[in-house]
Amino acid sequence: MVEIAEDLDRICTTLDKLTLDSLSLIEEEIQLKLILENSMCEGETHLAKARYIMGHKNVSALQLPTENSPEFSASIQTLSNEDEKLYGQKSFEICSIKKDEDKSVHDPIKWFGILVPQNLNYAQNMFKQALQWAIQAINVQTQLRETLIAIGQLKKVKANMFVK
Amino acid sequence: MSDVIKDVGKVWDRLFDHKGFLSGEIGFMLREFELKRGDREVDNLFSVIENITDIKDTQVDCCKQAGDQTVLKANEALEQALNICHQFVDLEEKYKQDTTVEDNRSDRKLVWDCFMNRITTEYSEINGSLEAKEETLNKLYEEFEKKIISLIPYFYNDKLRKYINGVKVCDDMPYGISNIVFKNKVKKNVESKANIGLEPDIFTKCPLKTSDSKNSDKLLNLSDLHWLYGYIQKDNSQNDNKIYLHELLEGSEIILPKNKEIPRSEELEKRCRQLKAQQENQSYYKMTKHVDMSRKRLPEDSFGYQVKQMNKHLVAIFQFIVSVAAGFAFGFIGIELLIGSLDFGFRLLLGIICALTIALAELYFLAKRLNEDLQLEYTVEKQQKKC
Repeated sequence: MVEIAEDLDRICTTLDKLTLDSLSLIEEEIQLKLILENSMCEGETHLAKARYIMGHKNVSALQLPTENSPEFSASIQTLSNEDEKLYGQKSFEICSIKKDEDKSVHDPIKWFGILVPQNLNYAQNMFKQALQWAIQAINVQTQLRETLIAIGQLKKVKANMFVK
Repeated sequence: MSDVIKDVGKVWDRLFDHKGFLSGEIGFMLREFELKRGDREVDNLFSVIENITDIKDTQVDCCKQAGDQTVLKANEALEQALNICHQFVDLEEKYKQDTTVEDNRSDRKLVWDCFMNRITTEYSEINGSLEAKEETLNKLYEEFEKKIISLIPYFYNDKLRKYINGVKVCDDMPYGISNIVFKNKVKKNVESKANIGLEPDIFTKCPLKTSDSKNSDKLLNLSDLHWLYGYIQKDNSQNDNKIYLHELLEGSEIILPKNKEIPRSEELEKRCRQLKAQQENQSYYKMTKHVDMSRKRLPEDSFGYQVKQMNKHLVAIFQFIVSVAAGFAFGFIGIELLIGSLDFGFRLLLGIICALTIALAELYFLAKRLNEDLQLEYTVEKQQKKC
């Protein structure tokens, strides 16, 4: 009986910790998403300013590569690695690939011309930042999901113990 | 006189005496029909006689024999066919008299009608009963909902509230909990994060009224929960009867921040509509410019327009030349004035380098400008239209 009581105690304390963890993870994820939204908005305003300066035909979907243009690879790619501390969960990180390593990497600013207003560079920086925030939000989201799964399992175990 | 009469007679003969001609023609015709025809008819008649005798001798007998045989055979076949037809007729009469098929058919129809009637009545009964049951269930659910809504504030989260009310007062109690414990509400200054500008994401739990979720007096923050967790840990280490946070938190509501929907301002809407109308007018004008000569005078026809265009291009080229010349002058004379005396060749080289760099840059901008010239035409027309 004492063992059952101790087990129950341990399960309940872990459940408490997990619930608190899940709540703080939720808050963190919401904050990250707000920041992500902010940087996307700023990037888009810079893009709109650049369009105003250069004319609406020079900054439009015409500049994007079509199906017939040569293929190129992205300059920022994501890698997933399994983290020992988190018991095999996957976490993602981004790494930027420079032009020297991979020849088929293009800088998208080249699509808009040679001398472009600074706003396009600002917009590019904002979008890069948004990518980083997005990756962090993804990591938090995976952690949250794992926590919720753990809570579900522990609750089942607890219910079984009560049945016995 | 007599000669004349003779001549006249001869002429008369010549003109109207056709005897010789006629006799010649008659002779010709006779020859054709009689000589050449010769025995042709007789030969034909002889061949006809031969054929007829031939037929008389042989063919008639053959025909009679063949006809006898085939007629006999045809007769037999026809009689067989006639027999079979009679059999068919007999069968059909028998079939017509046989009514079993018809009887079966009518029986089956009766059965089918009965069945359909039964099915339709049963279905309508089932539908009716279903609808009645649906109504009763709906009423039940409504009653349940009313009961639940009236019960929630009393049963849900009672545990949490009671526990918090029983919390010992300490100095470092966060706002949310103190709001619930104490009767006088402490107004918490809601900090808004400066760079985000949206509503702060207060994590709120334990609403005591389901309708008013913005009532921030009875809501708990994340820091409140952390503090509560520490307090419970301390409490549990002393008591035997342990209380757990996750049990207390069961049934609470998480209130997440919502996006404020900012409606588009009316002025912006009006301006957008005006601009859109203007653009459509412009494109229509571009389309119909060449259609009707009498309605709109093409501005390209006027001499002033052509002169203006030429002027623009000449000015651009003149600008280009002046920039390049100024660059060369700077390199040639200016640098010498700054630094001191220099070799002539060296000065020339400097001048040419400066002129080249300036020429390249100017070329790039000139090319960009010439590319945009098409759009300038339409702005000129718009200005003319406005004036």
